[in-house]
Amino acid sequence: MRLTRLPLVCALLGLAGLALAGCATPPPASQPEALASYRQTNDPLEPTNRFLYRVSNAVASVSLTPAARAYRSVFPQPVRNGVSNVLSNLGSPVRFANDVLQAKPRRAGDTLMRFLINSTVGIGGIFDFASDWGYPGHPSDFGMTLAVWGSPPGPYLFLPIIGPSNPRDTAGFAADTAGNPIWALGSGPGITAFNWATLGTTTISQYARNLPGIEEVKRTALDPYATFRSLFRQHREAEIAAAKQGRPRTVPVWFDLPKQPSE
Amino acid sequence: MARRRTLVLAGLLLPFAGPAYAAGEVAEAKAFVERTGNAILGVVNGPGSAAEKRAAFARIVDQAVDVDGVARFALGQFWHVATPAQRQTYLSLFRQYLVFNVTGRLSQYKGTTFTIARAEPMNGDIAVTTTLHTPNSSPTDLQWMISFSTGSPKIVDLVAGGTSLRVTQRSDYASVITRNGGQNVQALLDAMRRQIARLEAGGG
Repeated sequence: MRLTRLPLVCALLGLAGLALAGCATPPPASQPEALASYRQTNDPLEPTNRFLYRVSNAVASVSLTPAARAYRSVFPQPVRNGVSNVLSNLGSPVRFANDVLQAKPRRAGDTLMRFLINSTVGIGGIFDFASDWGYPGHPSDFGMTLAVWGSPPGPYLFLPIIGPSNPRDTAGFAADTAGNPIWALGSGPGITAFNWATLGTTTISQYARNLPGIEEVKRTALDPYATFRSLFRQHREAEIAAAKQGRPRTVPVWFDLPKQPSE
Repeated sequence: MARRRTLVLAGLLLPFAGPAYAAGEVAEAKAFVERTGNAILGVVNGPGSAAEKRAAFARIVDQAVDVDGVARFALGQFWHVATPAQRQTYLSLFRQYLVFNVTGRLSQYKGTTFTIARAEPMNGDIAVTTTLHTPNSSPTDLQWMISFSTGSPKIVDLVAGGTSLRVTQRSDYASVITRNGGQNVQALLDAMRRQIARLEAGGG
């Protein structure tokens, strides 16, 4: 059913001047295995995606990659962890909202406790004490919320800067960005500068974290594009499965601790 | 609707299908992962040149991994397309690739220790979950899929962050084969050969 909308998507992309290499043609029905693998890959825009993948790599190799390398060599791991923790803590309100929208009270509780603990005891989120105290972090975004509500991911998309995605997660990303309570702080040069700084630091910090993995895939995969596509999809499905399942534990870790010696 | 009902039924029946594992085998899988993990970390943190380490990993891979089983899984539907000669070449290239790939990855685990979190039957295999503690980074979970299909415990897959090594490998190979004319196993063998030569030249 999703594939019937394909010509429309291709036509729209063509209008946008993006369909430089056009859309992939599905294999004929006489090759059922190839057709099944085509459906499972769900990448009808593969030629365009591959083009964007190549462009992104070329751009990243002269911008993001050296920046991330420099960031890694200048700041030691504990500092990088602190930066990553602060940025993650800033994302807590959006994560909490999504946990609530997914109707997962225990995960929402974890996010809330993490925000309260790490913002105070963790000094503005630099230190992640909450994880040690039995409130582990988890990803939660509007793409996942849509998935929990039953939305299929749609065809694979490789977007500039954002990287591997799909229509559902792209819409989710836009909703999370628009819904960030930071906008409620008002407007002005200070807020704008803060937002750009946050965006820039987040991009560098995340890329620096992922860089060893990205380079490992490029080193060992025969077709890095297909490997990233598979890794993205599996990772995303696991995150969504975890969100759907919710968190089984009802008692925080610290509550269990005094009981252990007597066992 | 009918399809959903079949799926639910399959889900209900799944725990009873496939080989049933005795509690003894779960414990054996756990001990096997502990032994293998310690052997790997022993080489990672031990002395020796890169070449010596690679030879040591090759021995561990041969002992602990169901290499042919993983290789067949990674080739997926194209195993049936390949000629007997291509299958032989593929199995031998896959083993070489695995050793290089594993050796390349392992250097990042210097100083790592691990604990075994749990072991449970999963989809016909036994999933042993380990928690890796690497200095200066938060602990991560690594799941080892252990199969007894060859009679003794063997690793058939590693799963980290929801991503399975053998599933990812299969996507990679399928893409190379289909992009080179649909059923072109020879293209994959050529690409694997080039890649192994490249990894060898780069010192693995």
